[in-house]
Amino acid sequence: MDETNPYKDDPDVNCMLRLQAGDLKAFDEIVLRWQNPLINYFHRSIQPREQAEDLAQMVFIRVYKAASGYEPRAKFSTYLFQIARHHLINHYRHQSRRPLDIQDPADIQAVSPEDSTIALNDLEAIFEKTLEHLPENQRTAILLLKQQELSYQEIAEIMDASEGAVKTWIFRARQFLKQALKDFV
Amino acid sequence: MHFEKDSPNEALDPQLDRLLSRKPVVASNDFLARLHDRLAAEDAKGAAAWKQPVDSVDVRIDQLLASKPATARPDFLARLRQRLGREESQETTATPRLIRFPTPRWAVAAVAVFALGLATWTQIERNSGQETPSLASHSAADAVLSVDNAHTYDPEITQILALAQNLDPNQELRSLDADRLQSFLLSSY
Repeated sequence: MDETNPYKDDPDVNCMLRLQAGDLKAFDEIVLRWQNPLINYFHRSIQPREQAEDLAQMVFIRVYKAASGYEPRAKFSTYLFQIARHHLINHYRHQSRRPLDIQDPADIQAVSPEDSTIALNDLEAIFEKTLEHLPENQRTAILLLKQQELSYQEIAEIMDASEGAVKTWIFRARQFLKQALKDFV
Repeated sequence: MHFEKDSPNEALDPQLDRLLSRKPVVASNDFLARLHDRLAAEDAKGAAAWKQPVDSVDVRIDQLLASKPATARPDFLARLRQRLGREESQETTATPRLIRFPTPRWAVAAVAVFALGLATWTQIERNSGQETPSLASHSAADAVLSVDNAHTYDPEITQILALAQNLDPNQELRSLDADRLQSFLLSSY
């Protein structure tokens, strides 16, 4: 591998280069390392779980097919979640069930405790339901930050936005979630 | 910039972070196996690759092509490989042979009849251009009239020929045939 490659220490970048050279075991290593983070990322955005797994598989198929032309221009996590977000947005477009444009959380009706669908008093269920009401960019930004522990810079790269925009989305997402969950915590 | 300071419910932050950072779903045990199956289904060549050792020549080709920016598009090699594979399979199955089109028997017969007819017609036309006008191209009265001109040879024979021709006005008796017949009859006298 090129000594000047800034991502040479990223084990997943190495796996991609090995896959590019024909080592199929490297692909399995990538899948085993990233299957759970990816499925959970999708699971927070779409239901049921089988659909989240299906989308995760589509991402890995894309990674496999793109391996021959892969060039390490970013951390592998950045590369992977770029593809993942692309698939998620495509999924929304096909399903036409989620708002893709930026929507002010203040305009969204907050989930109320009287709502029969969330009367389970299950904080996890309420949280999932609340997340669904977030616009895609806010939900993706806050999940990549908190669930995937990516940096603001990485999130900005994945979402093709400025770091300032990412911080704003995350701030608004937090505001909305806190407002929605304050009666349940 | 500390967005959390602006939060109306700062007490919720730890709880919210805990919820956000959770990864409650674990991949199915057969996730990788299903992924392999799916790859195999999508790409027959990929299916073979999972079961066969990697061809070092293939790897080298990939590396050479991938090193050029023009061929670095993600789908370029996949499409190239697919195409090469297709052509290779065609080459292995193809053997030198004549191209034969299925021809029905009736068409062969029709062509033969047409060719024969054309040759005959051409010959007749050529002859008619050299000889006297045909009897068939005239009415029965014309035939009689033309035979009248032959009275200089033998009125009786000419009469027979005229009667024969007039029995069936539709029958084509060319002047050449009439002359030949007349010559034959005359010579037999």
